[in-house]
Amino acid sequence: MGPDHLGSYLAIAAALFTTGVLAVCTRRNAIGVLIGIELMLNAAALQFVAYGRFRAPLGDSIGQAAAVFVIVVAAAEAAVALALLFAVYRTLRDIDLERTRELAA
Amino acid sequence: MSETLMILAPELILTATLLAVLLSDAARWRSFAYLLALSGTLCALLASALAPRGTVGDQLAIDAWAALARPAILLSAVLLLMAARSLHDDDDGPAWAALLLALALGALVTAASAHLLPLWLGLELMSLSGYALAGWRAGSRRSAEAGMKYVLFGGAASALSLYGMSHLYGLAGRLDFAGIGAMLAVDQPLPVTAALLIASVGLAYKLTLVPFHYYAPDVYQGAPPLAVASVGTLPKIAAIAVLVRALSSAVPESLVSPASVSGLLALLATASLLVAALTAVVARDAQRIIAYSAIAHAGSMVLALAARPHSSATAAAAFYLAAYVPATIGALLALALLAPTAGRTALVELAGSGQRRPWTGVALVVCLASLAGLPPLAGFLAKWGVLRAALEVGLGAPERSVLLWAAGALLLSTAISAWAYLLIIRAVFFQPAPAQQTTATPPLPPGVAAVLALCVAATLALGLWLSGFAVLLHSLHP
Repeated sequence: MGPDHLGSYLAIAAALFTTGVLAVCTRRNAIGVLIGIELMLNAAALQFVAYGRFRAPLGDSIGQAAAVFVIVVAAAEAAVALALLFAVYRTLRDIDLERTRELAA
Repeated sequence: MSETLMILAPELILTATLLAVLLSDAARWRSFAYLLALSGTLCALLASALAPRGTVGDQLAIDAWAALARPAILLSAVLLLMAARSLHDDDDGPAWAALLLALALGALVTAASAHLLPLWLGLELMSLSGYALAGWRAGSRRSAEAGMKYVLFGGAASALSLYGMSHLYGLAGRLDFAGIGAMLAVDQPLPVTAALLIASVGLAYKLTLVPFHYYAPDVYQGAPPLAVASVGTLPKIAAIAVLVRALSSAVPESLVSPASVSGLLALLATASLLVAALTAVVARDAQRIIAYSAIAHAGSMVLALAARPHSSATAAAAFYLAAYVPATIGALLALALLAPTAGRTALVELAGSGQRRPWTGVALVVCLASLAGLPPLAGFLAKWGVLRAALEVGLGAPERSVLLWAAGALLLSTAISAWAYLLIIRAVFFQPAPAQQTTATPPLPPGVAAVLALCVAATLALGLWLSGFAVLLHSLHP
């Protein structure tokens, strides 16, 4: 199995996730928020693979399977989100979250 | 192997239908898309009534709840497809039907999942099709904004939930509900509990529970009414079904303090009920009021699950869903028919629209009265069932007295939100229509009229058929 590098992988995943959360919370551009979401998803995928390699019992491949599923779903999500952002841009000529607000009580 | 095929027959039929609908677009048979989707969903409905119960590995489980939720999801999908068929052009057919079928498929997977991975995949399938449905009206600012908000908030909630799941996988070594439950039964280390809470954010988001509700008002206001009817009902059925399974297998009875789980649920329910009612009364848009109603009703259903030691608590949640789904679909369809300009449901714009279509207005009143919980409609019995379970459990055990507060919140929320529903009815029937409106009202499309009539009939029948609750209780606890 080699040396247990789980800690380093978890640290990288945590850093990716934190960066993603910060991007989601602070970016005003919708594309920036979307990139943040992708970072969060990939942090989770990395963590699945790391746990699957170092912690799961032998023969358990759920961790790897989960990572593959996450990659596919992230691609689908990016496609849907970009299509919607494109629709917003075509009607409003803007994707700044502060300036595209019409819906309110 | 063949037994697995039998158990999953509805999901497989729905997947085949989805592919056929997509091919019908490529083959330029657009006018057949809805017929294809409808017949496929009806076949799946039949299969879900006949399919045996059982489990597929440790990932999917067709238990009593899934066996009830699957026909409910497919029946709602049939109603929504019928309504869409008569409201939309044939050109839109393949895309809308495919998105709705994908939403229903995601709901089926979620409702049957006994493992966090299929649960997340089901939630994502529902989300991705829901985002596209919400942003359907290309060129409309409001629909586009609704779709954008939905996809950004939804993506963040789902990524957060997945991060929790990956920690749970590492810490517990298992992702199936039973495995997590077996581990929690021995010990409850804080990191595992925290990961479990983070992982459940995705479910709370789909249920629009406070504090994960913030997207709902904007999305429900801006999205097309049929999209709201779809994303407001199918995911709710699925989420409640999987929540019941998760609570009964991942949170074992031997847990040191089962009251704490029940208390957490009661707290979420109280917050949802009160926040929704207090913000609904200041809303001035009918679809926005329906959004707050969705939040409050999710609170009531979770309150029913918080009273879970009570024998009729889960049946109360099931009956609540049975009352909520037809009333919500009916109310949104009626609003779609009444709104003078498509996609505009501000109360000012609805003024006097009941005079154009009086019967649609009456259907709207019946559905809203059921959502408000007035007797003799289904919503009244549903609220009564939840209230009784919460009060009996809260009075029976002193450590569960938080349920009494939640029951009080349910009563208070019902009283306050009745005012919001009255605002819609006042605008539709008791305010003068704008004078310049002279265009003739087109006749009601027969498909929508049929669906509306079915929703009203279900709302009345469930309210008058007093033994319905007992039948439901028996099918959940044979």
